[in-house]
Amino acid sequence: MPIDAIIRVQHLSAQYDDLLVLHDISFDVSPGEIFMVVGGSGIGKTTLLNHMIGLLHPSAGHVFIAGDDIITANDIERTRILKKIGVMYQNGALFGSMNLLENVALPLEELTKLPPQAIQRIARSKLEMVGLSDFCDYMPAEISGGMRKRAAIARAMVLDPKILFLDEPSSGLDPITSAQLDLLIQNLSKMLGITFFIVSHDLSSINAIADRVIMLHEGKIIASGKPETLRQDCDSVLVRKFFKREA
Amino acid sequence: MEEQKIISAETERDASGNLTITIAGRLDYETVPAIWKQCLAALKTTTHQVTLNAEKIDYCDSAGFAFLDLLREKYENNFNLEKLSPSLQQLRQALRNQINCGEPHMRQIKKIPLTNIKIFIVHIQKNIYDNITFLGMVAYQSMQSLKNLKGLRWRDFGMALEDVGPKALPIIVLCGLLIGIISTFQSAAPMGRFGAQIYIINLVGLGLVREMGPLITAILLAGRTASSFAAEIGTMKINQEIDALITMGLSPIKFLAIPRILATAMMTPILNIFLILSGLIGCAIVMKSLGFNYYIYLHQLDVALRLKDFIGGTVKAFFFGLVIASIGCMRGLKTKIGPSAVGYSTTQAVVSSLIMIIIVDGIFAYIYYTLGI
Repeated sequence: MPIDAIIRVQHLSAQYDDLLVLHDISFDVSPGEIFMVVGGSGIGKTTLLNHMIGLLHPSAGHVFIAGDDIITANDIERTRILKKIGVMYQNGALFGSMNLLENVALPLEELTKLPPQAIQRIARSKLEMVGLSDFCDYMPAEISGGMRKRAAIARAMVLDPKILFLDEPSSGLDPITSAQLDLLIQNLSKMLGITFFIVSHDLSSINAIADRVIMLHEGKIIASGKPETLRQDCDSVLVRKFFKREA
Repeated sequence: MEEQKIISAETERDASGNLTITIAGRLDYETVPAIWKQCLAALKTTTHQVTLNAEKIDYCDSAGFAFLDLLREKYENNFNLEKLSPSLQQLRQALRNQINCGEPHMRQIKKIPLTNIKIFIVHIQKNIYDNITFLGMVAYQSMQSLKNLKGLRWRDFGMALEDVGPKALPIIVLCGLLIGIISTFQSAAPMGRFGAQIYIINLVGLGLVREMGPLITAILLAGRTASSFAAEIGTMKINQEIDALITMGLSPIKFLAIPRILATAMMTPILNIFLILSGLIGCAIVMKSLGFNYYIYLHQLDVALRLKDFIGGTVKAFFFGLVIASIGCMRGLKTKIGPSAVGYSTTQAVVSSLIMIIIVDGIFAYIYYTLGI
């Protein structure tokens, strides 16, 4: 694997029973890149993400995370690989019985032996990074959808992972909140060098932050490149229509 | 291959008591706890200048920076951080640019006893008002549904009938049988002392038909049906399905509560009959073992029981069903937000149902006594 690829997906195929969802998917993601997977609803974007983070097992192929294959890894190796990544789920998946600070501190409490004062400090700093320092003691049910997503990002990056996987970060958010989230992702990428793998079909976000995009259709990658290039110069009509938001 | 986690910390104290700590290697989530302990032990006796030589630190993550920051906070002006590499300084600055220093603002919740009592009273008042409103709406909608049977959601009604009735039958029959057996055995010894074992049939028969049958059926349904209704409707509330009904201009009470309430009210007397029958069978089995044949048993039962005993028990069971289902649905519809809300509603549904069953039973006891039933 070349040193410049932090994620490498090789010939990945996946199916639900007899339904082939992904067919021979291959791509690389470079360190520090904001890489986005786009495509219509139900096309297999989240399925691809779930395979890459080890939640699902593919019918064929490999997924290398910072050099380690998560598909063939045993339980111990998988745990080690998972420490390199953070995941934000579509609805945030914050634990409703804990406040935001407790949610963010949970991985530190469970996975490290840090003293409590250090855990509190780190968790607070992560919440500050996402602009939620005033909401440490709020329960997830008491805050808005956008705030929940930002808190979920804070939790995902609390262990300083090299890679963050985000599933539809801007879905269901208003344009301003969505733009704020985009800015946060860009800042984290630039300043901390975090690699982002984002599943989305939000065109404004894609155009605003994506360094590189792949588009899925019928289980295959039908286009890859910079969003502006795909919008203007792609051979595929479907891709051009998608990026120009045409019927 | 995973990077090796190599870390070491050396402490050196000069003649004037100043302490120099030299850390080498990676300062991250895995190495900080050990370094932390080592440094705290060295710093315990130090009141002088503390210098941390960071020249050999080649990696630092949030845990590492938190460690450095906490040391700085603890020793304030007496702490010097020296020779941190430019790349780590840059990373530290990047992290700092993202965050505002200082304590985050926390909500201040004032707890004044008198205010709490006032809130509690207002809460109780609101609860009573809500319950009366809900029962009024249920009564109104039930009457509307009975007037216009086409408007009733028959499919939901059928599903509720099946859920409340046949699916609950095994546990009802089992409990009835066991209660019949147990109460007969419990009565056998004391009644035997007076040579009145034959009257166990009267005792158990009357007890089951008038009181135990409806009460045990209701208690079982409170645990099984009221909780199920509260959980089901509560989950719908959380998933905003109730909101969707309302925004579509549909009444959640009519759509969700009425079919369930009518089905439960209809099924509870039937389940009560099954519980009584199985209880009487249990009693008959024990009586047979005590030497009373089935002919004697049936004759004694015929003497003991009157039709109005049976009707009294059945009417009571009908009202128990009405109360149980209404409370289950009401608790479900009043579910708040959050993951524990459904569990809370379910618990509330069972507790409220049990309390209401006892209250309704007491009211019926008084009414039957007054009417001579």
